[in-house]
Amino acid sequence: MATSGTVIKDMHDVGLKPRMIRTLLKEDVPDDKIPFDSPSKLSRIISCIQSHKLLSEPSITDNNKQIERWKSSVDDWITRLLSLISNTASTPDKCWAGVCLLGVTCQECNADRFLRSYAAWFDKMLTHIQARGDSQFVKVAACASISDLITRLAGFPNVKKEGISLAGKVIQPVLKLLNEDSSEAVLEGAIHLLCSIIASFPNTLQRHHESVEAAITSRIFSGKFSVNLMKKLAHCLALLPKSKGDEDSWISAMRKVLLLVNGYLTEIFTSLEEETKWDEAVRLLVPPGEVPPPSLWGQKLLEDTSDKERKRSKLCSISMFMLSCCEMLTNSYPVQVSVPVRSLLALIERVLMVDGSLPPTTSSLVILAEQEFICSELPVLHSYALELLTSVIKGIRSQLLPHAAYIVRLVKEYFKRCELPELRIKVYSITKLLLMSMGIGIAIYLAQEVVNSSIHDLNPILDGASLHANAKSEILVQPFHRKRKHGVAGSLEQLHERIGLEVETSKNCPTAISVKIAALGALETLLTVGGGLRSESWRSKADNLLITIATESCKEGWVSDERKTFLPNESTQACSDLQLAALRALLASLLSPSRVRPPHLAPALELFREGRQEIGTKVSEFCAYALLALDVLIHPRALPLADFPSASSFNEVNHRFPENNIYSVAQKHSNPFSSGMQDTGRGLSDSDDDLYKSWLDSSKETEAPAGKNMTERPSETLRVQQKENIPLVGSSGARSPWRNEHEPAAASADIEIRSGDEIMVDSRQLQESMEQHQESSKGATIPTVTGDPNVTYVDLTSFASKDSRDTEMASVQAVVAGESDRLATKDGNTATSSAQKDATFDIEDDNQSTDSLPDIVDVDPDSD
Amino acid sequence: MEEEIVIASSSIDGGIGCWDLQTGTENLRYKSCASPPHGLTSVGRRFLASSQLQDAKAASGAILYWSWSRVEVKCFPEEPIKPLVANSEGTYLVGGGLSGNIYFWECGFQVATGRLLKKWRAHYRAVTCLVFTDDDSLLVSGSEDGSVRVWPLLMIFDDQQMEQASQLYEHSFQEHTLRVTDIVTGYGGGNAIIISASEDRTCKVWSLSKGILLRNIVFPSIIDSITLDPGEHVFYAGGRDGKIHIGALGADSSSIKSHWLHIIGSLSSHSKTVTCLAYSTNGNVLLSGSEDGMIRVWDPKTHNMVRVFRHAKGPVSNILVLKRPAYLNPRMLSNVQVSSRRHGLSLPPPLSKYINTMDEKVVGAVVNLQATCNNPLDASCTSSQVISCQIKELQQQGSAAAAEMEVEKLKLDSTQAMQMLQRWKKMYDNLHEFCVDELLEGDHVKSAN
Repeated sequence: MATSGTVIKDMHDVGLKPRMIRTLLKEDVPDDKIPFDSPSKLSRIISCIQSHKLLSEPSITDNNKQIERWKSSVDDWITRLLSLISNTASTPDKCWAGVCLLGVTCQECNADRFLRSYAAWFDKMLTHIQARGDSQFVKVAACASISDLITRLAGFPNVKKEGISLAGKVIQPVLKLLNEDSSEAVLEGAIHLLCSIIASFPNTLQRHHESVEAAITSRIFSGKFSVNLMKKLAHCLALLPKSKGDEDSWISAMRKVLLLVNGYLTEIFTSLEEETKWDEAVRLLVPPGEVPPPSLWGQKLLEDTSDKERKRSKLCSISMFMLSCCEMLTNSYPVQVSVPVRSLLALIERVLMVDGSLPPTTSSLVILAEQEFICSELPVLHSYALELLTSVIKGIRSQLLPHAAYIVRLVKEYFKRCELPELRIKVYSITKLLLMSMGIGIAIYLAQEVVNSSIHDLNPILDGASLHANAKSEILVQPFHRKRKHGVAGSLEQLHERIGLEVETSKNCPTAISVKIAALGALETLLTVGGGLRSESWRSKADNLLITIATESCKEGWVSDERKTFLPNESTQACSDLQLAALRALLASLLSPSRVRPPHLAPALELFREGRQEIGTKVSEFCAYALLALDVLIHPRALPLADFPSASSFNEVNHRFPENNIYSVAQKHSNPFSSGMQDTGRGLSDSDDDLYKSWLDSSKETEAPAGKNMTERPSETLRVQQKENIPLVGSSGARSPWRNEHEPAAASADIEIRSGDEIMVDSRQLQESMEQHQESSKGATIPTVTGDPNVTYVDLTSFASKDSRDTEMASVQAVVAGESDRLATKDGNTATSSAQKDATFDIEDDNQSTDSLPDIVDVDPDSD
Repeated sequence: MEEEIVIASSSIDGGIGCWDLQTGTENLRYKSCASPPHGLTSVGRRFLASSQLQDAKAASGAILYWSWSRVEVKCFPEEPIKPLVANSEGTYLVGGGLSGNIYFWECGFQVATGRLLKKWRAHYRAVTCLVFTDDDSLLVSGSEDGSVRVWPLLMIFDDQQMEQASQLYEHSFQEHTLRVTDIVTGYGGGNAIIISASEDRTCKVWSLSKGILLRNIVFPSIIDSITLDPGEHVFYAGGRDGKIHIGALGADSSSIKSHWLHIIGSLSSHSKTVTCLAYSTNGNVLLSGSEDGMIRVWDPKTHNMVRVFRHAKGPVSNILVLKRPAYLNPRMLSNVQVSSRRHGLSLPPPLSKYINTMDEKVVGAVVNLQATCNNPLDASCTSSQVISCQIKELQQQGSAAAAEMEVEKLKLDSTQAMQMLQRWKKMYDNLHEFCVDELLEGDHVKSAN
């Protein structure tokens, strides 16, 4: 080999790549002589090429030998593949390998090479789609490879024309594949190819629009394929209007689909609904003065069959056409279109309102059999109708507003009757969508319904036993235990669910969990969106429910993600998902605005803290996030714009407590704990500054503030304070020029009393952290004190041993003094603290002049 | 960061001016517009809509539309409209009439009808300002009679509820004694605050969730416009005394030294009344329009003026700060017309005057089904995926197609084997013949010998 002489540096060496290609060619890629014995070889080749980027030779044209070598080896590689594909003598498996590898090459090779040779590759592969006798495997692979080629080609804007002509060549053979009696795999490949042509070069299909539509719909009508393929057909049908790209073709496609679905439903729902539904649908869909076509795509809209098979296939078509509607509503479209919202909603309502019950007048044996058939198929229909509703909400966004009330009524009505878990999950997700899209306005309407249903679904009495019974080993005793428990709360459950629970105890649980997850999700969204407005009636119920669920679900330990790998059991997965959903909803309930402190804050914090320790799980990630989010609840802050006060003429910044209560309303007010260390600290420091000032000024000013303090505190403490504080103030005062001599002392006295109250209230909570602060304050204080550091130290320790309250008071003073001083000396904090003081004693300038204006009216919002 | 443009209109005919906020260059100017305060709005960044001041005699009002290419459409609603607002997506346009009615139009796209969807009696006297809340689900209106009302739009469109309910509004705040001049809503959906300014020289802060008055702030002069700091730390109130007062919300304020409770400062250099305010979140600057026709840009941190735009001789009545539409590029200005056509934007049809119940049945919502992300190809490369499926199939050897390929292979093998067989046979025959010949010849020779 050419490169055999050189040394490979490491796995990233460029010289390695051509060598690897040649080795692959020599050993693995089949040719006339090398047999293709195992298909797994192919996957090894592909993974080797993809992981080492073997085909992406750089396009620089300098005389780098290694790159030349690389290029030539890629040349060899492609020659080999083309010979594999076109050699008639090669076996189909080798040919298949060649087509597959060429498809991968289309993705992997560099742009220059691709643009140089895509046409040749395309022709080679096209022959395999056209050829009659070729193996299906080869055809499928050729479809996939061509679709990749076209997709890549669409990425180059300068070869658009060539792309269109290439895509044009494919359409006829693909249509042939669609119309022939091909196997499912080939059909799937052809559909996929068609979809990528529509996505890449939509105009190519313009002329073939009708024939493609006919081919696809006939396949849907036949209804004999797997669900997966049917969905792909529906998807392709939804993409088709894009080939024309104008408003009319979208609307007419939508109209046709809706007419057909309505027509088919009329037949299937005979005697289960009112006769007028078809006329109503026609009235909404067909412009006045026109008549609906009797048939579409060769299928009669209204016909009477009693053949069960025919009906089944019709039901299948209905589902697929509804799916197609969904796709049309959510896929992008080049121009704006007018969506027939009303007829879509009418269709949804029509399906959802049929529950299989007969009108009381009709009852015969034939109808009974009919009814049984319908009932067995209804869940699927309902599911697709809900899917359609989801797409309508997603698709028309804010323009849903005029119809929102109608939808809300529909959802509410359906919520009451819907019992199957799968459908309930969908209804919950629709509720979530509605809440997210319309915000608070719709929350007012839906709140009660969501809360009632989730209470129904999340009933904790039922779960206590059942939840983990399934996650763990299935002990025989558990079902009995649960059944007994169930009996207690049975009145709450629907008959249907009870039967389900008793018949298949083990299987019912995971589905029930998924409903619970959906319910928790809906509740979470409700709290996120509409926790504040008109929530009094349900809020406490929801909060209680959520804390119960969260504790219940986490009671038996955390389901770690690792266990999933050993136990690929659905229930384990579901359990950890449930924990996550419960915690998410719990966080929402804590953060959602309320008048008082969330009642379950403490246990919830405990849960989050525990959860965070399960490192490496989603639960732990979420718990860490939750703790961060709750930090704002516990330490509320209204942050100023970066350096707001410093350069401003703001008049006074002081006296934080009464103000903040208004905006971070209840938490702070009712809860000294959550009013936060930093706030308290700052408040104290402010008042202390006043205190120091009054001491400093005591020579000129009245002794009133000091006297007041005297009465409150033992003189010994005060002395200690003074002793310690005066030098401190002196040192900080030198730095911060805020001494404003005509500051009225009465004001500071006022504040003093207030902060004294605060201290009393907060003392219990503060105590612990004060001790920490004290530690740090010692360190901070000593170096800055201008007097003898030892004296201060001794003082601090000496009053720390006084009786409890005094100690606290004193230590608070000491701490704050130390802290404020530290703040002032630290560079980063100088601005904020000194600015605060600065602003505090700046005198009101402009507003003083207008004394004649009306009196200040201060309404205390918290007085109610 | 997207560039932002400033759009301003005047209450006397000064047209609409449009500047680049960063560079200060003037972009476009739309002619002939005299809009009252709150009478200018951007409809989903596709159009500008403005209500027009008319003579007192005129019985019907006028609303003007402009596309970015300066094409103008004029509509004539039932009565003069003063405040005008569009929701954030630009699908609805709401106007408040002199009679106290609120008009709700569907609006916006080229095939839309401009239908009047709803009209309802909101206030006893003229509506002065309208705003949507954060999530576009509530509408807040202020009126000359001093009331501020919150309308849940869902309720407005729910005919059944409308019949049952005694009143349509969610809250009705009556505490203002005089005309309401401006309203802003804060962050946070249902938990938001509403601040209203009135000619009674107060600004009042309301809680949307509780429906109560949170704070009343008395100002030294009448406040005509207010805007919120994005962090809701403070709010700015433009007064008739030419000052922009800073009102405390989350900020510290004290009653001790200030005579004016909750007013913590002011920005001033306006000699005349501040008529409108806007806040640019992007550049973090405050914009104020004044009666002298100037627009001043302030740095709220330093309280310095950083830029001045001259708009008109008359008072500035509205300022909007918008993100620059992609196709409104200074370099492309000459071919705005072309580009706007390419973007499929033509002007909406004029707004209809009355509710038409007939077409409601047939016409659906006009929706822009644009891809949310800009990925043109939703089909990803699949061949390797298909291959791995096929390999699996082959390895299991269960499927018909796999079997078929196997059969093909075997067939080919068998033909090859047949050929080989033929060749061997032939060889054998040859050999045989040769041997026989040899033998015979040998015999021959022997016998000849």
